[in-house]
Amino acid sequence: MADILTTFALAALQVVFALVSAPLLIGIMRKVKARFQGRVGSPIIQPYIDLQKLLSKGSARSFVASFIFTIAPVAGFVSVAAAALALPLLSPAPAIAAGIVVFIYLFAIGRFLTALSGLDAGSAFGGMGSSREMLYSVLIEPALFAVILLVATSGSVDIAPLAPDFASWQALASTPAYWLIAIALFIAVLAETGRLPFDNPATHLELTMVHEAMILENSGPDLALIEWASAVKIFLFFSLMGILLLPGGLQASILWPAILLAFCIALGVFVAAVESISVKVRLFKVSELLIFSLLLALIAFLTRIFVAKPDGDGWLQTLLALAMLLTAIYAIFSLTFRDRIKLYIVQSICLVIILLQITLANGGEGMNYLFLLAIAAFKIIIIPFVLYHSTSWGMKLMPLQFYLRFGEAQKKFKLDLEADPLFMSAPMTTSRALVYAGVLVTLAFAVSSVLGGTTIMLPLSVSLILIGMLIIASKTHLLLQLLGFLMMENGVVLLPYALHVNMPFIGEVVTLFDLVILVRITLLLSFKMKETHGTLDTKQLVELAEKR
Amino acid sequence: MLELVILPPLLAGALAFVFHRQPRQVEAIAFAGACLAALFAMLSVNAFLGTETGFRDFYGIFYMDAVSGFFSIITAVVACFIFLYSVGYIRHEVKEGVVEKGQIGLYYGLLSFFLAAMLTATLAAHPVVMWAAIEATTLASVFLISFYQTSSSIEAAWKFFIINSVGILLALAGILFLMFALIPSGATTGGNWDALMALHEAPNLLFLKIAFAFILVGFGTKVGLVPLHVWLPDAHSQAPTPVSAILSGLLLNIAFYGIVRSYQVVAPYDSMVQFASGLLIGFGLLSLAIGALRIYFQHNIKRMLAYSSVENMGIVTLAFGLGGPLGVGAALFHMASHSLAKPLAFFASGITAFAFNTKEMPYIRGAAQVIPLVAIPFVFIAAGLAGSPPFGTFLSELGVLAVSLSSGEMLIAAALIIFTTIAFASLLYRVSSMCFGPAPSGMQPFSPSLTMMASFAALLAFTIIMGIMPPSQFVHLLELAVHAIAG
Repeated sequence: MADILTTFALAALQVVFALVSAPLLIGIMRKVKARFQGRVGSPIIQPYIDLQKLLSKGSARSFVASFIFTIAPVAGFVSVAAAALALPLLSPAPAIAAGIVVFIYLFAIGRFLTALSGLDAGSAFGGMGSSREMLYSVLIEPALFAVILLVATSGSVDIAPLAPDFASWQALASTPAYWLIAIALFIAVLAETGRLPFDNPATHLELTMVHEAMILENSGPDLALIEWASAVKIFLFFSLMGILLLPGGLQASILWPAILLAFCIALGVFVAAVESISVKVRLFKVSELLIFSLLLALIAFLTRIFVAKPDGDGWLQTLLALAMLLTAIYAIFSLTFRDRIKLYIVQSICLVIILLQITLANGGEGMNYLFLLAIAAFKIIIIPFVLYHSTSWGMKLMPLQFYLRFGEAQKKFKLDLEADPLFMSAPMTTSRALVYAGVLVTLAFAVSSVLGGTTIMLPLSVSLILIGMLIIASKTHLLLQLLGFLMMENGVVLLPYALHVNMPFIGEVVTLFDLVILVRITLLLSFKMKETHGTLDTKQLVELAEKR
Repeated sequence: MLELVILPPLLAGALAFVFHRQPRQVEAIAFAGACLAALFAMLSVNAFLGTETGFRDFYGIFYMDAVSGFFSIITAVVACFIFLYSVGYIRHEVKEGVVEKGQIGLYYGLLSFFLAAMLTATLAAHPVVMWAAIEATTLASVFLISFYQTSSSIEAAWKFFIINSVGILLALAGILFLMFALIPSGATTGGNWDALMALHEAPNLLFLKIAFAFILVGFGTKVGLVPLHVWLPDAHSQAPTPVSAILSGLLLNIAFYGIVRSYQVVAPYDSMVQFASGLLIGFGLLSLAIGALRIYFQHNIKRMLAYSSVENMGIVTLAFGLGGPLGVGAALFHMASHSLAKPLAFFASGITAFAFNTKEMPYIRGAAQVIPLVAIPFVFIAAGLAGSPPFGTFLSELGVLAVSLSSGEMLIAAALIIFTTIAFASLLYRVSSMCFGPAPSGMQPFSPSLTMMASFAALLAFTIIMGIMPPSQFVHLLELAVHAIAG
C-alpha cells in the first residue's frame, strides 16, 4: 500500500515538476530572443502571468464548432502531462516505463485533436494551419523516430542515457559520433517542437503560421491549456535530449532534477540564439533538413558500430575524414557555385592535414613534403582560384585558349554562373539524393566491416568516392559535375593513405598533374559548350541520342 | 632502351606545338615520331625475345615482358599507318575549309602525346603509373574528339570525358584495393607488376574480388563494355576519322591491357579464376549481343563501325573469360586482328565520306563506281570485321568457338554464332549497299590524296599478310604472352 502511494506521489511530483518548469523555460527563451533583438523584453515569469490571465477569462467558442473543439485542448494537455510520466525526470527510472514509442505518440494525440479543432471552428486560417501542421508531422515524425532509434544503444525502446556512467561518457564524448548525434537530435527536436527554422512561434502574420494558425480560434482557458501544453512539450523534448546525452551516473544523484532543469535552460538559451539568427526555411526544404539530420545520425551510428583495427588511426584523422564526408554530403544541397568551391577548399584542407599527419608519423623524406606542398597549393589555392574566377578573367590564365581560338568567344559573353536559370536544376531532387547518400554510406560501411581488418578511414574514403559519384549523377550543370568529380578525386587520393599502401612517388606526381589538366580541360570544354549550346545544362546534350 | 619508345612521340608532340605555323614540318615531325616509336618498340621486343625474361629499364619505370611487348608493338606499328593517313586527311579538311590551318599543330601535337601516353601505359612497371598514363590518354583525346568544334562533337567530348574519368577513378580505387590486398602491411615490395605477380601470400579473397570488380568496371568503361559503353558511339563518330581509327583500334586495347594485367596478378589465387571468368564472360556476352544488334540500325557510317568495335571487344572479353591457353590466345589474336582491320575500315569510310561529302549511309550509293580502289576492299574489310578470311579475325573467332564448345558451354557457343552472324549480315548489308548499284547522278569523280591511298593500301597489305602468314616472331611473342597469362 505504501508502495503504491509513493509511486503515485512520485508520479504526481514528476508531472508537477514538468508543468511548473515549462513556462519558466519559455520565459527565458523569450527573454534571450528579446535581447538579441535589442529589446528589454517581458520578464521571465511573464508566461505564468499570461497563463493565469487566460485561465481567469471565459472561452468564446464558435457556434458551428462541435465537441471536438471543447475536448481538444484538454486532451492535448492531458496527453502531454502523461508524456511527462514517461521520462526519468526525478529519478533514474521513469514513473511509467512507457518507452520511446509511447512517448512520441502521446504528442500525436494532442496534435491530431488540435488539428481537427482548427478545422472545427470553420475559419479559413484554421483549416490552413491544420493542413500545414499535418504536412509537417508527416515529414517530421519518421525522421525524429529514426534519429531516436539510431541513437538508442539498449536495443530496446526504453529511454536510457547513451553512456551509463561518467567514464564511458568521457569515451563517447571524445568521438565525433557523439557530436553528430547531438546535432541530429537537435535538428529533429527543433522540428518537432516547432521552433525556427521550421516554424516561427512568435509570428503574427497568419500566412506564415503553421502551429499558431490552428489555435487562432481558441481563447481563455482553452488557449491557456494549449499554450501550456506546447511549453511542456518543449520542456520534455529538451529533457529527452538531456537524458540521452548526459552521463547516466548523474541520474542517480539527488540533484538530478536541478541538473536537468539547468540543462534544459542552457539548451533553451542556445535554441533561442539559433532562432534569432536563422530564417524560416521554405516548405520543401523542411524534408531536406530532416533527411540531413537523419544522415548525421546514420553516420554516427555506423561509426559507432564499425569494428576497427585496435591500433587504428588517431581521433584527429577520423574527425577530419568525417569532416570531408560531411562537406561532400552538404554539397548535395542547392548552393551557389562559389559556396561549393568553399566546401571543396574545406575538404582539401582536411585532406592535406590528414596526409601531413600520416607522412609525419611514417617519417617521409623531403620529396614527400614537397609533394604535399604541391597538393596543398593546387587543391586549396590554385584550382579553387581558377574555378572562382572562371566566370571572368580567370580564363585568360589558360594558354591553350590561344590555340583553340576562344578569344573572340570570350569577348562576346561571360560564363554567368550565378544567373544561369538552369543552375539549380537537377534530375534528382535534393531529398532523394540525400536518401541515396545514406544508402551509399551504409553500403560502404557494410562492405568494409565484412572485409575486416581495416581502419575506419576505409569506409569513410569509399563513402566519399560514392558521394562524389552521386553528386555527378544528381546535378546537370557541367561545372557542378566537375566539383562532384573533384570531391570524388579527393576520396581516391585519401584511399591509399587509408589503406597504408605505398604509392610510388612518380605515381603521385602524375596523378596531381592529371588533376590539374583535367580541371583546365573541363573549363575549356564548358566554355565551348556555352558557346555552341548556349547553356551548361547537360540535360540539353541530346543531339546524339538515338531515336528508335 | 624502353624510354626511347616513348621519347620520340613525346618530343614530336612538343615540337608540333612549337612549330604549329609550319604544317609540312609538323606533319613530318609527327610521322617521324610515330615511326621511331615503332622502330624502337620492335627493337625492344627483339631484345626481349632474345632472353625471354622480362626486364626493367630507365630507373625501373618501364617494364618489358611478353604481355607488354605484345600490346606495345601492336600500338606502335598501327599508329604509324594512322599518322600517315592523318596527313592526307587533315590536308583535305584544310582545303575544304573545315579546319583552320593554325589547328594543324594542335592536332598533331595532341595525337603524338596521345600515342606517347598509350605506349607509356603498356610499358609502365607500376600499376599506378599505368593508370596515370591511361588517364593522360583521356585528357589528350578530349580535344581531338571535339576537334571540329560543332555542338555534337562538344557533346561527344564531354560525355567521353566525364564517363571515362569517373570510370578510371574507380579503376584507381580498384588498383589501390589490389595492392592493399596483396602486399602485407609493412612490406617494402615496390608494388610493380612483376613484384605483384611474384607474391604468393594468401590474401583476403573478398578484398581481392572487390578489387578486381572495381578494375573491371573502371577499365571496362574505357574498353566499351556494355552497359558502360554509352560514350563510345558518340566519341568515335564525332571525332575526325584518323582519331576514330586510333580510338577504336588502339585505345580500347590499352584499356583492356589494364584488365589483363590485373587478371594476371589475381589468377594464381584459388577461386579467383572462376570469379573473374564469370564477370568477364558476362560483360563479354552483353557487349557482343548489344554491339551486334545495334550495327544494323545505324545511319552514320562511323557510328556503325563504333558498334562493331563494341562487338569485337565483347568477343575479346568473352574469349579471355573462357580462359585456358586457347581462350586467351584467341582473345589476344582477335585483339591484334581487330587493331588492324578497324583502322582499315575507318580509312575506307573516311575516303568514302570525302568522296560523297556525307557520313550518312543512306546517301552513299554506288561507291564502287566513284572510288573503286577503296570501295571494293571496303566490302571485304567489313566482312573481315565480322570474322571472315583472310583476316585474322576468322581464326580467332574460330578459336573462341572451339574453346566454348570444348568446355561444354553450349549457350555461349550458340550466342557467339548467332551474334557474329547478325553482325556479319548487318555490316555486309550496309557496306555493300553503299558500294554496289548506280552512283547518284551528277557525282563528281573523286581521287583520294596520295597519302591516304598509300596508307590504306599499305595497311591492307600488312593486314592480309598478318592474316595469312604472320611472322614467326610475332607468333612466338603471342605464345609467350599466353603462357604468361594462362600458364
